[in-house]
Amino acid sequence: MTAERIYTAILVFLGLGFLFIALPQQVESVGYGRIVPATVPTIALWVIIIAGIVQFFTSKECIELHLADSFRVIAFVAILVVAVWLIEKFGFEYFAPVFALSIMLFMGERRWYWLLFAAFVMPLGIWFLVENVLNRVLP
Amino acid sequence: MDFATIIAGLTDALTPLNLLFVLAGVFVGQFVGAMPGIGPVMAMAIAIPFTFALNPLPAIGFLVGVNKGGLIGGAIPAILLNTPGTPDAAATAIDGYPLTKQGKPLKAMKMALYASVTGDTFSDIVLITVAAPLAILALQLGPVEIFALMVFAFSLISGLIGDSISRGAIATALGLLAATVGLDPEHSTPRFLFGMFQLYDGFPIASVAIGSLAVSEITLRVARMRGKMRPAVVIPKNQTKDQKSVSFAEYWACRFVLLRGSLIGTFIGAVPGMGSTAAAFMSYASTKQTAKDPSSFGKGDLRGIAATESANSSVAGADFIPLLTLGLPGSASAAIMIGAFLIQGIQPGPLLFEQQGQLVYGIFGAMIMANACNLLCGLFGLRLWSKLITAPESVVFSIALVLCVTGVYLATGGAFGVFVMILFAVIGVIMTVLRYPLVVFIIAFFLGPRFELSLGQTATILRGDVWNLANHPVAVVLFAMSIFSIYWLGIKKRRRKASD
Repeated sequence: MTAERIYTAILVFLGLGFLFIALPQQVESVGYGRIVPATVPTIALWVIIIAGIVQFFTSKECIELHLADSFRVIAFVAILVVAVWLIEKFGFEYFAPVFALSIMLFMGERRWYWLLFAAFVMPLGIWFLVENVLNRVLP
Repeated sequence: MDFATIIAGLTDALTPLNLLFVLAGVFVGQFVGAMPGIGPVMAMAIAIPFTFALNPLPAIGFLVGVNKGGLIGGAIPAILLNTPGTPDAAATAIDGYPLTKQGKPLKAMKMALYASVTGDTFSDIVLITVAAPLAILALQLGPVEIFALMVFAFSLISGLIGDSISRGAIATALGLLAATVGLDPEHSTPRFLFGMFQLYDGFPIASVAIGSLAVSEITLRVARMRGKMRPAVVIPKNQTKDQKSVSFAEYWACRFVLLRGSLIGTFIGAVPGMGSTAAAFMSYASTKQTAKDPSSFGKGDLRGIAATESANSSVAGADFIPLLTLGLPGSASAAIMIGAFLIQGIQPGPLLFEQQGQLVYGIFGAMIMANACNLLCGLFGLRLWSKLITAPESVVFSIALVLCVTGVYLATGGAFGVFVMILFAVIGVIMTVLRYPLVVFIIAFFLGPRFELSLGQTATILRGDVWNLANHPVAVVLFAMSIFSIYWLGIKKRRRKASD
């Protein structure tokens, strides 16, 4: 079985799981009205399931996934999540520069002038603009 | 309304103070539009408190400038980085980004600028001349017709974008499913909250748009980055005139595309709730569909940029048709504008033309001047933005990410919205890697609530009986066109794959 078919099968099973498990638990049933709260989610899920089945049997696409790229995506998203949590917890002006710096280092930037500009000048400039000029509150 | 009032209003727009505010608005709009993460809607929202102290005309003129400038600015990162600054510009990236990869980013940006100004001016002229009759016509589209129009738009978009109809259908359904999170519009019962009360209002639009369009693109590019740092956009030196500018012949060759885009954008802008993103994609789809060589689209065809930019910019003027004549905001920017009107003590609606005719025509004048400012500011600004954006990828992306986090935090009022943005960035990455058309997902998400509302109203009007559709011939034609377009586009895609 090709990678394309495996992912399509996963999508179809996710659709079925949502339709028969998540939807009854997460959407209240209402006994009146021309359409009920579950109408549009049900239509959308059936479209996903049917189109997924069609794609499973007809698609001849070749999806290529690179393991190294996948790990970099996971690491990058982890940096994002941790940075946002730290910014929320300790303050934008302290952790936005750390966030920008870590992103640049992750991308392989080592030139000090670019690191200084993007990690300190810009985040602090944004903080000053938003907090002091626009009078909007940042964490 | 007498002729003297019209002239007085238009003259008001030409006073130095009013012109200065329009110019300032356009400059701010182009700048924030060019920054992925902060679009004109957010810039307008932030700017409203600063317009309290101004008189109505400079205040509205400034916001008009921000909105119009933002539509042009949004095309710049779409063309240079494949990262639309605004959702409206997502379609521009389809042909704009390949032109950048071919070493012609300035040519692509100039086409976007000329097309935007053309579409915008067209819709402003329509607004000025036929505002009231057109709004009445648009209002005659009832919920059944609007629902049918949405189904037609979905069928066209999902059929035209992406590798196959099934992928487009799945992306559409995923977008509609994401839009159902939150309170059901008909019964106000919660759906798919999974214990998170913050989701009562659904996924924040800013989080979804910025996460799936901007952050996912940055994530993918960072993941695929190897070796030495390079500029995010390489604009080759020693370019010929042909490579960096749009000749009159090239512009003239797109005249029918521009006219079609302007007409689609003006019509959709006059229909509340449709929005400029749908206009851009419908214009792109119809241009591709009628082209003799559709295979050139998506590979850097100037007609693709002309189609999308003329359509999305012409929505800006047409948005004012239901806003000024009926007091109905048709989009997020129009909703902010109505707020600005109310802050100034002005009630938009049919009586506005009667009671404040001079102000209305002053606003019309400001809109025309904003187009001229957009052209001048754009010709100067395009070079500036492209110079700013030639910084290394690491600098551009880290700053863009800080702006995305800041923008979403400000727009949603907390870190929850930023985490939702990250979630949609992950969804965007998965969809892109698995070749599901992300833009179709976004459009379905934006139109989802309106789609559900129209479905509910349609079911009520038809009293659950499909045969009652016979009383709505326009809707019947639109449904038939939807079925035909899916069938036809499906066959075309299958034939193309077979020939490949």
